[in-house]
Amino acid sequence: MSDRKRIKDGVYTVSFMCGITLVAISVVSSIHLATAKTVARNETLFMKRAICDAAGTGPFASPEALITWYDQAVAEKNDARQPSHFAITRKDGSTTYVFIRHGSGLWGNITAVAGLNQTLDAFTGVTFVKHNETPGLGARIDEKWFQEQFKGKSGPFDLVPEKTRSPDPTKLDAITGATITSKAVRDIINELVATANQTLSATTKN
Amino acid sequence: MAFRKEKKILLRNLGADNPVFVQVLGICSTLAVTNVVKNTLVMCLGLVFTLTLSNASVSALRKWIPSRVRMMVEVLIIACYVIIVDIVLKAYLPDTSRQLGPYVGLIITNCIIMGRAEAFALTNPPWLSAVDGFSAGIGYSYVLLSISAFREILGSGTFWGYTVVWEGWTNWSIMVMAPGAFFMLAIFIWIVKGLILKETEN
Repeated sequence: MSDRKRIKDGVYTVSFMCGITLVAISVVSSIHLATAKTVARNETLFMKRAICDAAGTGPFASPEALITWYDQAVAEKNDARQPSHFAITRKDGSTTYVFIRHGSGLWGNITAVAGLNQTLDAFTGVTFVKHNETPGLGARIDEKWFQEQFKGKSGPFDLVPEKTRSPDPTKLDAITGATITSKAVRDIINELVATANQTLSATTKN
Repeated sequence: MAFRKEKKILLRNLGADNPVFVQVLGICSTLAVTNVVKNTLVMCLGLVFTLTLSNASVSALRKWIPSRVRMMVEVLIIACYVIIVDIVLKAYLPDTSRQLGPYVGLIITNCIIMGRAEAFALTNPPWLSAVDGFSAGIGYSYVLLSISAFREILGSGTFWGYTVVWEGWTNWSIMVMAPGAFFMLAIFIWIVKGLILKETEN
């Protein structure tokens, strides 16, 4: 191959690659821009739904109803360290507090959203918005029975075997085969129980 | 006869040359996404979409793609379609998208797509390549869907989210985990090879 042909070949290869990359980028970016709003809305909706679940409210008939409720009832409280909690005013005038807490699970962080009543002595609901636990074992923290069992209990919690379904306000059914995840959840929630009061008073001072 | 070639490609990809149980490609997603039927279906649709269009695109460009960079071009085209699927899922099926997590993005590295582009699309016209991509996708999908049906029923006691088992049924935890998919896939290959493909091999 002569030098000239080689150069020509190289230039063609590089410009072909650049050209097709440009085409691909423009297609993907335009689709991204076209859907960016919907994606962002889904994200906030997901968070709002989690807060609503943790407060023990809902489910709502439509996303719009959820947003209307949220805008009316929920006050986001912040302190120096990012959003600390949400205060939810109920129809009967009482307040529910929803907290977001993180902790280490087996494979990664678990983010819990948990609601406590006005006197901070009973959970209104607990849900998990982010985790990487093992499907079929640790990921069962997503199951309804696991999250429902917190309702009305006060903590701090001790783990008891799965299916005990103890009505004791300090007992928590663990998940069989997912000891580390169960302990992680217990610790996240117990830490919340221990610090909820402090978090509230810290924000009130601000 | 009309569509003779197309029919041949279709049958080959569904049976004797099936990407999953004969070529044993794309096993990573077989393990990862088959624990619930609904997610599997979304994953399969994503794969069929990507495979059909990427095969057609690679084939349409095959005369201009410099052979030294052909793999880069293929991956670029595949990645482009996969990201489109990912964005669309995020926008319109956010819950499914959250459950599938990183696996939609991982379609990019699914060996079936790269394999079809290399083995078929580079040497065949766009229409036949699209048929090939589509049928390979269907061949992948029906295997995954049958595996996921067993895994969801045995592992979670549900099908498409509805409870199908009797009171007192104990879920087989292993079916929801990756080893469950290995077992199901092996049983699937065993049955298919033992009963159906035996004659063609002889």
